[in-house]
Amino acid sequence: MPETLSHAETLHPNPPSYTDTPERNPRETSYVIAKLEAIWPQLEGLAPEYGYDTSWLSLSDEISPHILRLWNCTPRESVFPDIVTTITIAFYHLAWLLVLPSLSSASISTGTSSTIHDDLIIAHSSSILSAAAYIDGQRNGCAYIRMVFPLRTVCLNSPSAEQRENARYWLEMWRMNKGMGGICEVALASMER
Amino acid sequence: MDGHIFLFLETDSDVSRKRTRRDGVKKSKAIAQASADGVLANFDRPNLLQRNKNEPSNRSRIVNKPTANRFLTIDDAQSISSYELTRKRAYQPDIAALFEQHVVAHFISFFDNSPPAQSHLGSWFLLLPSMLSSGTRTLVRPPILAASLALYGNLSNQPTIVTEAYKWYGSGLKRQRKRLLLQEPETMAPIIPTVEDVSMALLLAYFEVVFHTSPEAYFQHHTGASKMLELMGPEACQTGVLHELFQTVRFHMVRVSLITSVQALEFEADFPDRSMYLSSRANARYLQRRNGSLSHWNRKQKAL
Repeated sequence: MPETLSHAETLHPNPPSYTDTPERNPRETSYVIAKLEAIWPQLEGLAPEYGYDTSWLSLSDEISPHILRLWNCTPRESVFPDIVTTITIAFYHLAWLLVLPSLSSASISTGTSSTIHDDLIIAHSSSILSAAAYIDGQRNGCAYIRMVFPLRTVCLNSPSAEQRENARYWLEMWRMNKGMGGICEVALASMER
Repeated sequence: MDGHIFLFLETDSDVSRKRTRRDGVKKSKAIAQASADGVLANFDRPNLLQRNKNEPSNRSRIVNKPTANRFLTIDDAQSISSYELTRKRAYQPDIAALFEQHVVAHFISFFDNSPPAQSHLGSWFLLLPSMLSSGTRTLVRPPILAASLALYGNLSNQPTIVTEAYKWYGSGLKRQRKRLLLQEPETMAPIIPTVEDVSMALLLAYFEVVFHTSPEAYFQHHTGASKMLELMGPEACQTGVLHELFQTVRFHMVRVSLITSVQALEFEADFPDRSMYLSSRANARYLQRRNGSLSHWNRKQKAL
């Protein structure tokens, strides 16, 4: 992520100035988290049992409010009513998978454990894999294309070997059977590098 | 029997003759085979003429009614049948055009199998058949065929169709390259892209989805499409087909920009689905209007 920001600054030598808090700076992780938290209530409305019961987390003194806040935006089980909503949910979890590694690296620098973010990454990856399983049965080419990037991100970021293997399985399956040979091959080749 | 088309039966074995006697003259009736165009035709055989010398010659008579009392000679039957076969050929539909429409329909149904009224993932797909058969939008024809044939050939495992798709892909790239080199005659500035230009880029990207020619081609096509939309401006992308193309390109650019670190487009127009617009790092950047810089296309041309 830091490499992306430095490259972005070379692309835009005169970026818009943000004099307010970091949460209003699009280049900051906190800005992205705030946006995702704003989206979460719309997804939570899909089903009453969609969200996690975080009351047990609040009983532990080791869980910081920051982590509790992240778990409040994580679904307990996946609900996929249609293709469009499934893709939207998958991209919501993809956004978390892109943000959480930077939080893990920041927690390492401050001396705190990074494994608590691993559980969050595993939870979001699990939802993406469930979405891929739903999309596989829908036979919609656009959905296959749009699920390639979330699956690739699961392969790269998930700490669970089983989840990485599962994501790779979907990419290989769609490459061979669903006509997605080009895009899946590029995704798999980039992971090999 | 109905119909005015006569079937010329070339061999005797194809004919089931029914000899009847009428007025002391032997006649033969050729009954057509099971065919949609088969009719009943009577023709005068030479042996009948020899047997009935007193009967006037029927060689000059041409049958134009499906009645049992008319007679044809073999020469008349040959001339009529060749004429009828020629006329029938002239009405045959163009098989290539039908096959193209079939392949494009397969392409559309694969990528958007929802009913048109409920389609959210890109109803601009529904314009592809009209673009394919249009006499004015000829630029889009090669990319449409390239993407459609690639998908069809891949799923049906037919190498000949895949080879044809590659040919159309090359043709589409050539046309796109020529199009990008065009300039306004007065200002010598690059021309403003049109819907066809953006569609071309997207369809070439869809070809790369099925068969990749290089690791960067998919990203380059989508980057080019986004640059074209930038040149056209946010006002043009708020409604109509361009809005749908913008939504498609925006979705793909999430991946492209995060992988290649290229700026993704974001207009400040108030779109109805803005509340569901996911914020990623690339999409949080504001768009700066460019002056028609085609440097990325020049790099792509060099790569090709």
